[in-house]
Amino acid sequence: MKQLTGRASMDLYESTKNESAITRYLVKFICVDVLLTVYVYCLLRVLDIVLVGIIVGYQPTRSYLLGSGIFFVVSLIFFYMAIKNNWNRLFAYLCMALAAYFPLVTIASFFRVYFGMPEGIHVLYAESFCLVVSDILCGEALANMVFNMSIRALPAVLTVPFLYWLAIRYFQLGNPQGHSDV
Amino acid sequence: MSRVIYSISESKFEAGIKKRISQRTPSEVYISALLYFNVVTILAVSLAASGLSVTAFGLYLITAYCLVLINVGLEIYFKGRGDTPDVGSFIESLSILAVFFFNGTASSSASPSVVIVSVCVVTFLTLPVSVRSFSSLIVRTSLIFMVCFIYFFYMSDVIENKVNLVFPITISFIIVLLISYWLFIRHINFLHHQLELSYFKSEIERKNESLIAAEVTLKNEHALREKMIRHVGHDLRQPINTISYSLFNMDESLLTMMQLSHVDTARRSVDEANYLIEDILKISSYKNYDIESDVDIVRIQDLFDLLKREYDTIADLKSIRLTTLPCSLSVNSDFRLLTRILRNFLSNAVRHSNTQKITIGARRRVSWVDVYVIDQGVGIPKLKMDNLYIEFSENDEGISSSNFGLGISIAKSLADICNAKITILSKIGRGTSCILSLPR
Repeated sequence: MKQLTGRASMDLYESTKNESAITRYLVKFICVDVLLTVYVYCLLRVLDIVLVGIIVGYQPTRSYLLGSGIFFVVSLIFFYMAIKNNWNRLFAYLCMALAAYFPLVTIASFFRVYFGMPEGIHVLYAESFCLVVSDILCGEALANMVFNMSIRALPAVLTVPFLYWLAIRYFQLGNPQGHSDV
Repeated sequence: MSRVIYSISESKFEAGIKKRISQRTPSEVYISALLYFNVVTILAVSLAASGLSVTAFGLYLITAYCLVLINVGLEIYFKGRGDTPDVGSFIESLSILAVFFFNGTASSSASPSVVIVSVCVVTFLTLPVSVRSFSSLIVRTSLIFMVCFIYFFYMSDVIENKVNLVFPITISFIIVLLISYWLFIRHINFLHHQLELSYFKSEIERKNESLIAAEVTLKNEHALREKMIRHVGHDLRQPINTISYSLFNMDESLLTMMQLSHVDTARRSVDEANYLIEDILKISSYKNYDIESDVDIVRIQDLFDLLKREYDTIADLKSIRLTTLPCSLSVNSDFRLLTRILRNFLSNAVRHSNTQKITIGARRRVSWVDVYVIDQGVGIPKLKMDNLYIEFSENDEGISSSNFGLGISIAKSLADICNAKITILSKIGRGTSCILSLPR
């Protein structure tokens, strides 16, 4: 084992203790993750409809499966990190969600723009933001898509960590007495 | 907001704070990496909003993300080896160059307000977790922003549009910088307080250790002194007893009146000396708390009978009428200790009061019993009453062997062991009442 100092060594000690907890509860948490993914999918659809009426110039991307898929994978990674590092406090989950969602939204937007999006939406964005309409959208359209998707994802970002934390507490995953690094 | 702007260079904990900031746990490294992702993404999106092409945007994002991940890997790998190379910092700065290679031409300007809101909100939300890597992050980000602004200023065809975009981006960055600085100062203050606490804690522990060592030394010295007192007391007894024996066995028929008077004085002095040695030895053992109480039902009348038998002869010799009032009460206490206390009262009454009558009795109260020894002697001056419980207290006549206040002090120590209370009431010319209050 590597020689680590101070809190770093405590981190690894605590994390290796919880390896068994991860495997023990993996199936349960996959089920919870699926439920939360469905929740996020529904929330995104609802917000697209609502925001169109509230925000002037809001362009719905109708990109739900990509975002939900990314959420499912990333939340499983977060589950692993949360159990491994004994993140017991709600603040940790909120922090992680807020810190992770903007890059993920950006990546999702990039993939959507670069690897093809529905013709109607492509034309809509190109006409609204680009001086020259081409096969690939301009940077301004991409930026606006990122902003729109960010605003759309914000309610999910604020609610899902709380549900996530509740699920972990309910299933008593990890060590409730363990210290949190966050 | 913290009211103290903390300056690291003025702190004696500077090294500790810097060490703490530089020693990041894996969790802190992950959080810091997430922050880098956010800042890089914000920058990329802002550049895209100002005209960067999607291809350039994607390539820049991939390059920057890979650099951050490499940096995270290097930090985790090198952590704890005591020598973390700054390779991560160096290769991260290469991300600035990516901006020049991946540029696109400006086509239209995005809404400045959207840029400001997005940059401010997202960066602010992620900054609470970034304080541990604040300084290097801001330096790099500032450099990136500066280079980008200069680049777009000089490379763009439409300067006016660029000004419209640069201004909101700059304002956003300044807002982010101010908030970050505030959070950083708060974190430094927090670390400073933590170090202060640990410093004070170690100081307290050090002082406690020295206090404990001093207490042990004091106890040893005290034990040694008490031991010496006991030995000296026991050693003194032998010659005193010899003198006493010789004096009391002297043939008085051969002595003149003057000589008889001197012998009598000598006998009294030897008695006093004996009493004094006795008292010194007793108080020495009481102060060491060598006495343990053996609680049992004690009949007050048994106490009185014992005392009367012991002091009848002495009282007769001094022409004192010793009276005990019959009593049927009982208390839960230690017979031996009660006897000693009452003996002290009686001794004081017989030796110091110049009385002709001493009465011993008891009175029942609601939840206790008062046992009293009353004499009709000279009484105790009011000034002396305050020092009654202090050993070796003086009176107006100066220090003499018959006036040492050891008796009452000893009685009080014994009374404390029995959970009893002593009250002394006295009036000059009327006499003294020594009352021992025992719980029933």
